[in-house]
Amino acid sequence: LQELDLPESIDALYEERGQVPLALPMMQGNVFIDVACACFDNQASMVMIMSHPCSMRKGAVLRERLIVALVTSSEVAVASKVVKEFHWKRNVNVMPLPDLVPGGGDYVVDFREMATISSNLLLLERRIAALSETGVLLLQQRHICSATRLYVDLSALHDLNRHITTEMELQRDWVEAASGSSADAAKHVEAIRGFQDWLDQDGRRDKLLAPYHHAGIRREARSEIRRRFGTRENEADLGRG
Amino acid sequence: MTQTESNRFRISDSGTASEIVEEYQTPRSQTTLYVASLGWLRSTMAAVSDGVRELHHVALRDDLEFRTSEKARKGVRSLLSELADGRGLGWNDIASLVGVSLSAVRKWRQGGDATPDSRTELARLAAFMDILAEWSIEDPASWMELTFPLPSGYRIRPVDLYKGRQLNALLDIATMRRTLEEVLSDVDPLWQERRSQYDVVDGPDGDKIIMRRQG
Repeated sequence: LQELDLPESIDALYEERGQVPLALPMMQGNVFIDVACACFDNQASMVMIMSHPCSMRKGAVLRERLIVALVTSSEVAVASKVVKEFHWKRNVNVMPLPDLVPGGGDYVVDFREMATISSNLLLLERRIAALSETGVLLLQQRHICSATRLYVDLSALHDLNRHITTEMELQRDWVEAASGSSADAAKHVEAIRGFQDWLDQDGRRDKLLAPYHHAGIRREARSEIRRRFGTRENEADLGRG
Repeated sequence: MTQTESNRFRISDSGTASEIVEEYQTPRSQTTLYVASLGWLRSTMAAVSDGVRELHHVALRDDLEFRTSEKARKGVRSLLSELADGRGLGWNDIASLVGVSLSAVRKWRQGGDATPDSRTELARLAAFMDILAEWSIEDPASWMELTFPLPSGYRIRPVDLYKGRQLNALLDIATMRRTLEEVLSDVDPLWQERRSQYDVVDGPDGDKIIMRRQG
């Protein structure tokens, strides 16, 4: 019996919950609330981005339409604490999202309820959670299994996603340094463009495909971030003496 | 000169075909003595080698502990900066190598407190990277992310051994004191059973795709 994988802990599943920083790149596994579209009967719904990171953007900009899946609590009644592990290991049609909402609230993302919606409906201020790297791998494994009945081990998916994880991590660092906690969307878009332009230079994007180069690109990116924007963290360090 | 010595096989209780092995004379040539001497020497060397290896591992542990306590004098943010900016480790890797969540690392970056244990683990990681660098690993962070050169389908990386706290085993591999297979069999006897059926290869559009392994 081939069972699906499960996370080591609930914390390992999420990169952010609650107030998700604007600088965190939009990514597969992000959860949004109050998304109203005809495909979900125009009711304010909770959805998760399902589009693969490689097909979410045209350059630095999100595509006009993205694939999302409905996030619901309807199956949670069944997924009581006792049978939760059953859902992780055996239920290929959903992915459990335990403690998705701070203060309690178990949900599942349902792969049988998917739709293509305008990316304009996915407002950053309505983003309430983002899966971690591990969470995204678990999501992909379950989604593949649900759509094709094929089990793919996490190590293969990890290999496939390594360059994306590194790129997203560096983009977040870059945008945070450039925009800080500013809520100005234009500033964020400008920072994202700045990072993507930098990545396009000197063959860096190609180098990202080889994990051996990742450490070097990280050092280079962080040095460039310090050169362009200074380091807020060090300033805070100095401030504390 | 050939010496002979009387020899008789016992017929074991469990019963073998030993009843058909008749009494015979063991040949005692120079070669036979040479074989016996070399055998003894080999066993002795192996015992000495095992003993020295154990001593070496104890010394390595002590050295790492000393270096860790020295590193731990630094603040959490300085350690994070050393690992991320200086060495080039990713935040995800730092979190998993230290054994905390990514959000904990983000909290530390923003000035949050780390537990003494977490601070020690950060210091240990920084000290370990120093040791790798001193032992001719040119770019320790890159090396930690490499997939070991094993047949396709095995995706074991130095970070996996580090997460399993097999630091001496990892140093044995880094310094090529033992073969990769030997070390892996030592620390994880079932490692060969965990072979992925999939390879990651270049896809038709230039991006990577997953493909079932051939053969």
